[in-house]
Amino acid sequence: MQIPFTRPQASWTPDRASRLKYLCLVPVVLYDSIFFLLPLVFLIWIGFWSVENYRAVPGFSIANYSDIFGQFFSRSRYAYAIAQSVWVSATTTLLGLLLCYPFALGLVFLVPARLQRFALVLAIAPFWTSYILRLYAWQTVINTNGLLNTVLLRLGWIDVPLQIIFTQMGTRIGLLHYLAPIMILILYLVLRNIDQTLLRASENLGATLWQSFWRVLVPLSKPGLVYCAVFGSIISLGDVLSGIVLGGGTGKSLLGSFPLFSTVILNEYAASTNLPRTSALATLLIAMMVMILVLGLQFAAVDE
Amino acid sequence: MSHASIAQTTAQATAQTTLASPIPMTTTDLELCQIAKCYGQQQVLHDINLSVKAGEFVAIMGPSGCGKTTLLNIIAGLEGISTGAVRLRGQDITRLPVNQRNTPMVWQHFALFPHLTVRQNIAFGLTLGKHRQREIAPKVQTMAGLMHLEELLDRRISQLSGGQKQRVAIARALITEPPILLLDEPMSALDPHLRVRMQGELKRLQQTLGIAFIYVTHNQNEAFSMADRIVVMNQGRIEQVGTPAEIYTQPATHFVAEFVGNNNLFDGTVIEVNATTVTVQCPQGKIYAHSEQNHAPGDRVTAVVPADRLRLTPQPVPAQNIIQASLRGCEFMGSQVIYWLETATGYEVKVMRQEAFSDSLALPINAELYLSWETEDTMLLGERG
Amino acid sequence: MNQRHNPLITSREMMVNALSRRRFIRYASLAAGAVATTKLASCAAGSTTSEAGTAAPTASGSGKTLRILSWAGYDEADVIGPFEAATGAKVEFKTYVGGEQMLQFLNQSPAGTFDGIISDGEYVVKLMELGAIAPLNAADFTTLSDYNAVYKEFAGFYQGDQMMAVGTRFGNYGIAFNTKFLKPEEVTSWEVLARPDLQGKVGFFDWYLPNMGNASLALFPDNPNPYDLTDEQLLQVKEWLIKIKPNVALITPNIQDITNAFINESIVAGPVGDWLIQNAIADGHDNFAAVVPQEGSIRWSEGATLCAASQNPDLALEWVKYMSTPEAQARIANAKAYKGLAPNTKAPDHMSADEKTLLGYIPDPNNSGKLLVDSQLERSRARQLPVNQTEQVWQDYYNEFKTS
Repeated sequence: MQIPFTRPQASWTPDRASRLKYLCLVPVVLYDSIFFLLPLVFLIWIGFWSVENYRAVPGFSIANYSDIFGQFFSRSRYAYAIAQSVWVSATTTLLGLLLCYPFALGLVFLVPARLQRFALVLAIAPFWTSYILRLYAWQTVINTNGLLNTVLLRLGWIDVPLQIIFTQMGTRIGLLHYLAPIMILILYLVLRNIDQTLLRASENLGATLWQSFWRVLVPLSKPGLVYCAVFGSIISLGDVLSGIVLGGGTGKSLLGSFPLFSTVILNEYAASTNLPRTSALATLLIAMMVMILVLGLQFAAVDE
Repeated sequence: MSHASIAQTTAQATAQTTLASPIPMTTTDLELCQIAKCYGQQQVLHDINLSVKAGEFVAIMGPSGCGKTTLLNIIAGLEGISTGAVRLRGQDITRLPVNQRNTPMVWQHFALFPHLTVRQNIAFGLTLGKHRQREIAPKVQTMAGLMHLEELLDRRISQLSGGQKQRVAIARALITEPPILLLDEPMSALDPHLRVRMQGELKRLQQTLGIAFIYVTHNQNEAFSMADRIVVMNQGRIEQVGTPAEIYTQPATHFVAEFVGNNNLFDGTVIEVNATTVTVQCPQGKIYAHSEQNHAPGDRVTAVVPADRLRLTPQPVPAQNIIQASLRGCEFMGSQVIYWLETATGYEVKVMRQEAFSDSLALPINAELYLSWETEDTMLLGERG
Repeated sequence: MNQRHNPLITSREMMVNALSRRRFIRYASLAAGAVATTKLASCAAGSTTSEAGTAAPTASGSGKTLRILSWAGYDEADVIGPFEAATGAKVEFKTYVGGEQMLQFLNQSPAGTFDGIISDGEYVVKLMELGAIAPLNAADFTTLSDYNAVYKEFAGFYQGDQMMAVGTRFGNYGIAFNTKFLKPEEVTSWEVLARPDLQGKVGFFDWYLPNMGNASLALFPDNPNPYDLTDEQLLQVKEWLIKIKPNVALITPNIQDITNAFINESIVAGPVGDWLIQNAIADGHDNFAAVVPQEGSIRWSEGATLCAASQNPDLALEWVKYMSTPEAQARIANAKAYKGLAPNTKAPDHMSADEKTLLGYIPDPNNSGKLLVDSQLERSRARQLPVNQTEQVWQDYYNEFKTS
């Protein structure tokens, strides 16, 4: 069936329109180049430099990388720290989704429309407080003789203080508090944009609430869930503060008491004049992040 | 599976899945009894009574906000009611949850699931229950054949045209072989050309399946071309229920007469009643009508004259009803021309004629013309409510 | 590479902490500090201007401005006020966090921006290589005669025979501990950190130099330079640290985290030195103590230098001289930012009794006739760079310790 083309012809020729389009892209390209691409390229480049007499010397040597990869499982054992980072980041992201998705669902479907904005602002308010301040606030809560342990001991629920501080659970708590407002915001916006008629249609076709949730709502929230997962895991991989302030720098997890990779990089950067090697380490971390980003975007784009 | 057997299995399925006693030998499929609906203090539906016979195509028509979509949602169970009852094939479904009713809806913007293929969309209703995959596949295939969707089964929804989407929406609704199909302005999102074509298809489909269609629209062309009966609603009430011909020729209320849109309404007072003719004095002049109803001199009445019954001449012609008016404008609607005229008292009159006739006239704007019509073409309505 | 506490630690936050004893403020200041830790370090250490006293400017520096690049503490009014009052000059400070940052500030500023620099011993060498600092004439520093033996002619401050810096403050990385859980008599050797009952109760600075230096001393106390190790010895050092690892709960670059962990009893001991907990002790946490174990500990050293490109060399020299006086060193040793000890032995004469007790200018109970600070100084060794291996090799072993 042929549908007649009824839209009026654009008054601009395609040529002019596209030239304007490119012009509009200039700020985007400039911004990305200056604040993202250029530093990134520079960082990657420095990764190939070497050090002579405490000075970074430009050049192209893969010595940093061969040394780093040579120490993946011995000496510096970067693989251990990377594994710890991946594990903490993945579990934190999963926890974040498990906490924030129901919250956002409640916000969209249970809170009356006129209160939603207010509730959303409350939910994301922590985002405007200092991250480090929040970490220290958490320290007072989860400390060995902190608020939580004091209350639990007094209630008689535990006999010895729970060891949360200086474990990767502490790290996750700090990261979650950082991620939650943003995850909630992303999920809220995605859920709000879902045509609620689709849920009524699903129900109308015989679906139970549970079926509508799994067959319609979850697949339609997938982009939001994927963005949250990408966002959460990248932030978690890159963050150093929570792993130090709450995780104690070498916090225990199921894998063992290792530092996060970001902490290792930070420490090497601060302790040595070997900027090229630190850059190479950072490049590895960024490569992991880019991989997550690419995978995530690919995954989220399937439905479009 | 033949179309007849779809209807048959529908009946069987209903008998199996609902707890109702065997289908009573009644021709009534859907019954709405004394339905009222309130949102807080505001009552949006008043005293709705309607029976829909098996295999009947019923259009619910009315302006926006008249409650027609609410009524449809109530039938589907998407909205509750304050008082009254909904019966489907004799079973009281008033309290039945929406997902147990099998009253599928074709939505205004189709509400197809964008994350599923055409095939998955159509099969959706079947995949929710205990149906096995090998039962589902042939049913989807049959339905796709019925709706001419075989080639499109593996497409994504975003790859479909409006008409295709609508066919998928209908197929998805019919896959569970429902006793009734609800359609909420399904044509409004379509291209005008497509609309006319789909009207024919939809009517044929309904006749093939032999189930009741409840079709909500604000477009009278759709209602008149497809419906066996039309329900005209206004402000939460049913104004009139009747065949298209009844609605067209015998509007029961002023609202219907006006809403149908082709009528000219002249308010006046009965001044004389004899065996055959009622004479009404209007500001525009005397109007004569057949005396079918009981009118007495002094009654305030409204004379209704369909626009397509009016003749338009430059010179007075011998006719019982004749009014002088000046031409204010004309509108070409395909083969028809609509003339807008104004009487000396400032009253606007609409006249619809065939194009061939207008060609011969070539009337200038502001030309003084004469409107004339036959006595039997005048209907009288009582005083406005 | 020469930070006493790792570059990421901000001392300014401690200063605020000391100024206001309320916990909330401490956290607020920490916020600023730890943000700096990540990438914004340069933002955190803004320059501060000390308010000059009201004394009429009479002397040579009247109307002039001196610009100093320094660790936190030197900019406190108690420390710099008397100099400003005496000379009539105004002293502006740019405070840094870690030697690397100090070099960064220096390299990013036009020559002549700074007149003087407070630097750690190892960084004095680098500043000399950069040609950033001018030689000092030992004859100008009559105060040197009062210096203790170590800092009278501290190798780290000399280029050959040429004096390049004058000591202003030092401190050690001995064992700090909570007396509620450990009795002082139990804390005599580094081996205490390996005790099984301390599992998950030990805190570390995240910097390989002091930690590996201390481990080296624990194993080879008679080695005159703990950083001069054979490859075999270095492996033993690593193994010793790995032995401690199960006890390690905290490895942080942030000194305040360690202090907090002590206060919250999340850790009980750590090779972090006395100066770290002295502010907490002054705050009333008198259950904290610190010792230099019998094997000895690593020591940090700060010195004042004169910038080669200074536009006020005379005034700058006056400031360097001032920082060698017992009066100034008494104040910088008791700085609010963090504490330290004075190379000038006359400095305690300008301290209150409480200050002397806090810093350890008291008789050593185990070593009659000596002050505690002096016997600790004897047992400590200056922090240096690895002699026989590259820094990276040490760092790699340190990483292995952390991931074990």
